[in-house]
Amino acid sequence: MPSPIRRATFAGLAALAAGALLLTGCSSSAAPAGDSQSAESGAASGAFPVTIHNAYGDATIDAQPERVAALGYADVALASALGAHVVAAPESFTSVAGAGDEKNLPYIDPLPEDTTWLNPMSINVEQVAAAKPDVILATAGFTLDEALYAQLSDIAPVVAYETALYGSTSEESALRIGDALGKTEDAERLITEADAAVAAIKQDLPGLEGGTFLYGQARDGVVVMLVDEANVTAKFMQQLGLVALPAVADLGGQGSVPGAIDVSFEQAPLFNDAGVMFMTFQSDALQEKFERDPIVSKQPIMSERYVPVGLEAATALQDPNIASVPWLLEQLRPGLELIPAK
Amino acid sequence: MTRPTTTQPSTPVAEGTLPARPGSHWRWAAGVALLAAVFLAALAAGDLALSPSEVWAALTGTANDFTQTVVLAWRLPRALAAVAFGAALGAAGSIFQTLTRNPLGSPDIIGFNTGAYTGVLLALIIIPAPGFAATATAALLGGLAAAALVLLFSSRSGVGGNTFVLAGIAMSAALGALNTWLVYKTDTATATASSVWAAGTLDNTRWELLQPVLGALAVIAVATALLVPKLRIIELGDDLAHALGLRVSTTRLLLVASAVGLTAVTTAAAGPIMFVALAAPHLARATLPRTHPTLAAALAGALLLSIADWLAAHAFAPTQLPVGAVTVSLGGVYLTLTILFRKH
Repeated sequence: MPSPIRRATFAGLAALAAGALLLTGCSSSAAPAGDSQSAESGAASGAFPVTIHNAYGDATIDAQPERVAALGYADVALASALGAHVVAAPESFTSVAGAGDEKNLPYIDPLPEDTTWLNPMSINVEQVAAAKPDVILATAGFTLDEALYAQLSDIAPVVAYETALYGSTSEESALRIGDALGKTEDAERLITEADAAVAAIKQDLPGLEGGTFLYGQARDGVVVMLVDEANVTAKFMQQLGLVALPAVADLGGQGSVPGAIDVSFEQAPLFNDAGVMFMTFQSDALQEKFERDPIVSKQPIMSERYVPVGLEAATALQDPNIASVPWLLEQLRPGLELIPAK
Repeated sequence: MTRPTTTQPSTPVAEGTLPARPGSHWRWAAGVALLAAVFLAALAAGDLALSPSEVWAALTGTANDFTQTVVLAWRLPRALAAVAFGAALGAAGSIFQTLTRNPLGSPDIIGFNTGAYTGVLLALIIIPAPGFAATATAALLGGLAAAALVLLFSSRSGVGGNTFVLAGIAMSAALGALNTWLVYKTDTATATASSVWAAGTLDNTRWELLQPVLGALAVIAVATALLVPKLRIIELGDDLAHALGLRVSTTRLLLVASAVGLTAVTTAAAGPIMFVALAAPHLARATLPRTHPTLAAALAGALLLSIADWLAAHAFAPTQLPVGAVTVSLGGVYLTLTILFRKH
């Protein structure tokens, strides 16, 4: 009975999460965040103690952390990119979903053998405690709730999101983690590097500015298509100069996930005007079903500007953290190159 | 294991108050000892390795702060919750099975859990990120509303007949369809949160949440203990119970209310933990003296849930299972074996 585990890891739940994966980015709560803690900690790197205001309470970090536990993907990516000693990390979604053995995210330096691997779908608090962290990063912990936050706080100060999951920009999250680790300047450098990578690809590919995209998850008979402009995924695309194809975005209606609408395969002709169509899938079978659908397969875009997106890239796109941006752009580049110049 | 034989030719669940067989007390002692052993194992085991002496030191207040936190703030409330919730579900199941004279008459199948799930789903849809109190209240209201409707539908024929069970099954089916539709229509975040609740779990049990729950259970348990002797009279048949001066309908309603109360509080706190209420009375009949069937079912339920939660936490560590999935598996295996090896 003891181990105060986090929730269930069943297949069903994992499937649900896979469904949630793309597009969950919480749209509405893009409230301003991040200002307060950077103001408090001062501009200088390494000013401790630092007080972090979390959605579930305040946490004070007294000295620069030496052992870092990360619960979310953005957390481990940023901590690793900032050179912190990560002792506990979430295993990659590929590993959680049973689609592969690699536990490290593809865009970070592989963590040492003795890392405590956590299941992000079901955080095991005793596992976290056994790793003896002196700070716990959970700005992207998607199973975090009040009870889990309280237990984690028994172990070490917790750095969670300030308002809501995916409620902050990637820059705000990076600075938040930078402050907590006493590496504000390094976080600022990462932001500059990400901006530079975005600027470089925009220069290489002039078609991006003002271009259109579609990004969706094809399910059984419908595509859950991203339309909300406030979504963190959509914001990432906007940074590249892209907008969601208006013909689809303006369809209206309800989506299976917030910020998205469900578009029937029968409306596939609408997809043709998109500069590029990225698509993710919960399973290979659903990908095959989409690609072989009699209506979908006849659309010109399917042979010209349709790009399937893999599990890890979809996970990264769900909450594009600063550290993942250069890698993510490399992954999307073949698709982005297809966007015709205006 | 020798089974105490009963001379009653009645349904499998209808048992009278039998005189204690000499020498059967050891079964009670063994049951309680086993429960204590599982309880201690729950305090000792975990991904954070603690030696028995460290656990003991934590219990006596001489361990370091961190060990105290792990044992007293994390493991102890969870272990206690398993015992208390299991006992509540076991007792509720025993009462239901006796009243309905049906070995399948459990709160699981008369619509209570599906109603509670409807309540939680509606709460999740209406309130963004509801806290524990809101979720628990919604589960409570949903479950009680479903139970009230079932009672209303079966009011003409009374709780004792098949109508009660049939109305419960119909209510479960209708609400189950509503729940499926709600999950389908809602966004993924809500669907994920609700499916986590629906799995039934004791994870992250904390004192501040557990204390009011244990308090409520204690009150209902006392009321139930006072009512249970009358249950033994109702078992003898309505006519005989009337003749003995019992107000049968009122007593029956009070018993239903107490059983629903035990289930409701447990479900509100931990989500629907299936099968304990159904399997515990059967397990109790097979292994414990039949002198106090409801108490025996409570002990069996506490054991069942404690063992199930231990397995949920440790059998596949560090992977964790929801305890609801384990109780269903254990209960299913047990009942299947019972049916396979039943003497005709």
